[in-house]
Amino acid sequence: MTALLSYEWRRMRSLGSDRALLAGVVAFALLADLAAAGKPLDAEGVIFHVVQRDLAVRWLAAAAIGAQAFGHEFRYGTIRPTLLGFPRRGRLLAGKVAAAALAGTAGALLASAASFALLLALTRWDGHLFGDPRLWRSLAYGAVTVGLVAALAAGLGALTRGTGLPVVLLALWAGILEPLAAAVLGGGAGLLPFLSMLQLAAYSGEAVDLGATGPLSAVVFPLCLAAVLVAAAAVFARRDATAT
Amino acid sequence: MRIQAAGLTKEFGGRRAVDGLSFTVEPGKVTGFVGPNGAGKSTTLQLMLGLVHGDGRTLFDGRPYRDLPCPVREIGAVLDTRSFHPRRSARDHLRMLAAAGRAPAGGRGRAPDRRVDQLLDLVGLAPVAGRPAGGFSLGMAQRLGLAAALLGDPRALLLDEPANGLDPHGVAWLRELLRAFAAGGGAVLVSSHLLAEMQLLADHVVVIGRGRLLADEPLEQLVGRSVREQVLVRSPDAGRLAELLAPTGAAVDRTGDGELTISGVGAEVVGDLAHERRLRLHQLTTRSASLEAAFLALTRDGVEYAAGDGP
Repeated sequence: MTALLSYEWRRMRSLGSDRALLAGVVAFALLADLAAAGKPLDAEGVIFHVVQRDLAVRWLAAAAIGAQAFGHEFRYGTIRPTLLGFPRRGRLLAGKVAAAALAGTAGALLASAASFALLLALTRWDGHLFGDPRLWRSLAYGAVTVGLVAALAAGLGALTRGTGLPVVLLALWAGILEPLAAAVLGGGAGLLPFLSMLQLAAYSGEAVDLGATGPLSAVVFPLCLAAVLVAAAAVFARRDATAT
Repeated sequence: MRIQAAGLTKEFGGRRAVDGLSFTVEPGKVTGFVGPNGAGKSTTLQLMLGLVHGDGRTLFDGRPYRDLPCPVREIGAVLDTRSFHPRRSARDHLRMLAAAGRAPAGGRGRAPDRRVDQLLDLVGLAPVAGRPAGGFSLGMAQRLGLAAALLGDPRALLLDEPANGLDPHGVAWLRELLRAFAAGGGAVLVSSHLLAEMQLLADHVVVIGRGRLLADEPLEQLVGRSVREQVLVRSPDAGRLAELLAPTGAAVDRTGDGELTISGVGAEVVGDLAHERRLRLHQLTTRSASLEAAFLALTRDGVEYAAGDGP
């Protein structure tokens, strides 16, 4: 697994598109922070700025990074040399999903850290905020949700053998289908996969008006991810390694 | 490393592309893998490496490819000319592959990077190592593929048409490289439609047509068995010469005006006879048996895609 993670790290860092996505996410956060210059901030405000405000952008970037894990391999025919190096397909899928998740989480933490640092310099806030566990919980969950989206996109990339389709599917799912469903379901929308993650990353369970976070919120998205990965593993194991 | 393929079979939409192929690739030898277009050569190589699914099995020193502990340290393969991201540099492409355990020395520290640079030098791509590989010519892409195959210092090479796109110097370089690899005890299976080149390169030949095995034997044996040596003669006295050759048991074909194609006797017999009878010869040439002639004879009925008679 170490060789596979190292391989994926080399693959990602040698692609300009991945570097551009990461730089874009950090730059977006820093530029948006400039608007908060001079304002007083409480813990909830900090979380809004360093996690929630940019969550959709980070999910989108993570989806693109995750989808490339298999999409690029099939598009450019590199899936063959990759499979020659890692012929056990289940292990390859697991490694690529793990690498995408790690990259997404690390990218989100980096963006949050940069944003945090700039807000410290630009705004006025009490030092005792650092003692609020909800601040750190939101930061951690926010980063984890980005990693999970990257993992889901990697799974969808293995299923569809494309880069664009997984991103479009996830954007439609998170940006249109779930908000529509939330309008119908009201409080129960907190159990929809993406909205449940939004709940987890919120400073308080009621913050996004979807009802309190419960144990189910934490498992909805992972269950969706597991279903997609099982399907991807089954399809990938049977499919011939041909370029699209 | 000994490579044993047994009963390889693959169907695409009900059409059998590879049909029960069995053969062995011995260490220390270059085994040529030849067949007409669409005969199933590339599919066979992909089956052997588990890249496409089918029936049969291939064992590398007794183990399937997927069970090798670090497969790229055992087998180097070039299956596609352009298996790289077009915006990734040649050096980054190889460094990425080195991370899969291809580079010797355990793949740690700077050793893999040094190995990458060595191979870029070996294949002649060092001056363009930092350029995006998408801009490479076919020959440069082949060289990059070969560098990737050699990265893990493997014991066997499986190469699909590696000479495609190489210039004459490149083809000669490749021949020397593969001969040296085999001389060092490595096993080489190389597919090619460049039969003259294959004749210079291979020790053993596997010939397939329509996915079926047509021949699996040493090159010399195949060529010698399939085609007899012929003598070409051009002479103003061709008719008289043909009459004189008849009692010798030679088979004489009149292949043109004043031109004979003779088999069954050597050029020295024909020359001596003409000299004794004071017949004039304008040309006396021995046409050696060739792999091409043997191949054409073997695959006459196994051609999947044949050209028509004319426009």
